[in-house]
Amino acid sequence: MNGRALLSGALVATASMVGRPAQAQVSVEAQIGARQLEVGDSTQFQITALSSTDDPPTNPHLPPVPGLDIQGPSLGSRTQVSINNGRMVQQRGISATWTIRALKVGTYRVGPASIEVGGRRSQTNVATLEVVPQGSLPRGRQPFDPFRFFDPFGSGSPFPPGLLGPNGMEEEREPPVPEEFRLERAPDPIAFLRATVTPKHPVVGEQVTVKLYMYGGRGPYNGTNLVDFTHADFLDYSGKDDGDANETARVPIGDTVFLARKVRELALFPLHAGRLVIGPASLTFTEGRYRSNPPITRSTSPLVIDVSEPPLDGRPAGYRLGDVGTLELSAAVDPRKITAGDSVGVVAKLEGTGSIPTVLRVPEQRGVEWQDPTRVDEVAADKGTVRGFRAFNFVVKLKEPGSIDLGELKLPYWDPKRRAYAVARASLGKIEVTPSLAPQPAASAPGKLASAADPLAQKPRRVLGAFAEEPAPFTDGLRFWLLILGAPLAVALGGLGREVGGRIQRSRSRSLSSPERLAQDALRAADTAARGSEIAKTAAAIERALFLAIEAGTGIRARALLKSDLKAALVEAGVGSDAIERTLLLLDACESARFTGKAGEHPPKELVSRARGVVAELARKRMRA
Amino acid sequence: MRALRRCARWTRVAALVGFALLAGGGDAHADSPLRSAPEFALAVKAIDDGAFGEAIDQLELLADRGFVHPDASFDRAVAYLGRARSPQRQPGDLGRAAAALAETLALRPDDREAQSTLDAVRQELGRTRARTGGAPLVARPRLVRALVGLLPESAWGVLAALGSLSLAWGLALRLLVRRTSTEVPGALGIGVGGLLLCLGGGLAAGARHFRRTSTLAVVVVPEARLLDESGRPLPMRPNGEASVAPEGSEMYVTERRGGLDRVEWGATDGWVVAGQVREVEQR
Repeated sequence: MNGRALLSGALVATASMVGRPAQAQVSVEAQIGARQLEVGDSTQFQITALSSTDDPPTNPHLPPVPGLDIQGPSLGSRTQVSINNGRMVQQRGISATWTIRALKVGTYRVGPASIEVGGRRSQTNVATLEVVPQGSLPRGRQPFDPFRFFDPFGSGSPFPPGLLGPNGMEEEREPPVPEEFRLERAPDPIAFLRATVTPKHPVVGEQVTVKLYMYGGRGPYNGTNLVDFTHADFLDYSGKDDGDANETARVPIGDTVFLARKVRELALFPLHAGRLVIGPASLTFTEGRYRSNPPITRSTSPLVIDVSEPPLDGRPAGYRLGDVGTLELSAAVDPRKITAGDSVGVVAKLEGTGSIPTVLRVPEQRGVEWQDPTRVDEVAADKGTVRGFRAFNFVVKLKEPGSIDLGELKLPYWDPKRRAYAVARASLGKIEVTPSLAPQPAASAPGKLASAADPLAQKPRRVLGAFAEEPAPFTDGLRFWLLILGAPLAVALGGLGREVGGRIQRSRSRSLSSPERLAQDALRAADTAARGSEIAKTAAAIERALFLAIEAGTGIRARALLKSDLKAALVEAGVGSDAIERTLLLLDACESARFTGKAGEHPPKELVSRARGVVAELARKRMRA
Repeated sequence: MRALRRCARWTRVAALVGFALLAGGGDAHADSPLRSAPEFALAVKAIDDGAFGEAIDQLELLADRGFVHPDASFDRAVAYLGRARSPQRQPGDLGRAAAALAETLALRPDDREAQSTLDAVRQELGRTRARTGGAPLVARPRLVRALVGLLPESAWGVLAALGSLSLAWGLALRLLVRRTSTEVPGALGIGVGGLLLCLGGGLAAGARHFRRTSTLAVVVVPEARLLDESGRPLPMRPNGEASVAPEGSEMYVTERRGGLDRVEWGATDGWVVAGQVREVEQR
């Protein structure tokens, strides 16, 4: 019989009662990983000590054994809660693990290990370890070691040999690449980091697992200077850096075989809805062919996660945002018969997966007074999933006699696997409360009076009164603003338009009867008459055009003046002497033609042409003025 | 005289058009039929039984589902007040009661019982603050918000409409009628109307802006520390006090970003953790 058998390797050593008065209970348990070892091999020896007192176990000790190299111990903490007969028993303690390496052939007695509790030492039994020469144990097998989690049988597999196929076949093959390491394309041929998030669209309070993997394409490496993910919007249940504990896998990607390792695994719980960001992580590759200056440092991109709230449809009353997981609730009440005014103990245990809620709503009722609970928590990430329990220890005081139904404890939660709400329930049952023999305090009547005068002691409204939701105020719409600003603006624009229109009309009528315009009309009439060789008509039109041009240019009404006076008036008006001369000559010629009916020395067309020049010159005079 | 009569006729027409436009300006809201809620009855029974936590669960669920009613808000306040006085009291219960009462008053402003209870809750919170020497419950509001709050938004709107009408009438007299006898009334209309339009229109626009961009909220934790945009606490005030809004104090939420709400508390701007304040449903 060697150490292969699962149970034979474990040694339950001692469960001792330390002789302290009252409830000083200590249990010490020891295990050894193997009973047979080859020289040079190692196994582990572990003791677990739990105490129900306030004094935690300390100072574990394993005496040295000649022929064995004993290293350690490494310490861990332990908490255990159990409910027995309605009472919660909580034990705290430590585990201490030593690594034992066989140096010489022989049979050795390991222990007794001891541990100190409250000033006294408790001992375990002695374990026996047989060390045999190298090669004595079956080839390819290592002694069973329950502490080597991924390879307890020493065959590179967590399963016993032969379970998955014929012996010997697996050793020749390349071990399969774990699914989580597989990649189709390497973003960097030398080294890179990869971060994954599951699930991608969680609800508030649902566990989000973030994993960080490092891949090296140049052979073995070491990862240092880890800058971890930042996650301010998440509750973190992750342990410390566990990268060294993970094994390295050979992952062929393209033509390169990368050595991949999981560096971090975070168990996070989003605290609110929205697009939450997990900051980047970075790591430096060192050792082997990764030595370089500057060092090979890689980082991930920020991870963005869309977090929503569980749906409103079907949400049970009392659901608190963030209560997500798979939960079970159990409760125990003790005692069941009491006297009025006494208390019972209620121990409720909420266990399951997820971030276990820290608050439990109690079934309140008049005459039953629930005190704040004391709580024991044991929630941690285990194999990637956060699980555990929270135990609530209530003291409930019952004031009124009778058979009191305490009701039930319930906790609504969102089950992410079923995508539905569920309610964890635990019925508390009835308590028989006998009347108290002690006289009742006569404080009820004054209490009522006090509550009647207390403005904070209000009675609820039993019916929903009439209530109409008011529409938005009229100032909300655009029309209101258009109206109050548009009305005066419209009036102002109307007045302005009216003024401008009047001015345009007046200006137009003025321009239609202006001497300039009439002079031009007369010139056009003269031109027409000249073409028809109507001498008198031409002369009359030219004469009219000249008088109008003089009026337009100088303001002088020439028709009312004698020619001698006209010349003086034109001179006084500043008309050039040449223009005056030509004007007077033209007037004379026109007068002559008008009376004789014959063209003199100037034909009608020439008269018209001359008249056009004089009119233009007089018009320039007007413009200069 | 004919000109005056014509002007009066136009004024009447303008008033009728304005009234028609104003009447059609808002959405028509008929009285919605009262929605019965079984959760409300369960909550009332739970309060009677002293199960305030259960009543709160039912009424909060109603609120989450969008059920808005002043009596439901009042009963929620009663449930929180009941729990605040029981061994199951939770930090912030009085603040949540104050928020529920503020909501009752926002939905039904003439609710005297809610007003007196809210005053009592504030007095209780004030006493607690006085014992601990914390900041006062009421912060002095900004001048603009105080001015805007002197009258309801619709009152400012009516003032602006009257100003607009008077201004239009005065302009019509001055620009369209142009008679010596209308000069003084026209100038008076322009002056008074312009003043009323500027005052009423400006404050109505301010009230509209505040209503559309900010929401009344109440602090529902013992103390809400004001933060900057990155989540760091704001520096101490000039008088040496920390920028901490006490439970039950009212503030205005102007923006939500991630887990933070941007708030205006008195004359102080800052950010608070979203769960520390409860927004009040408005009509």
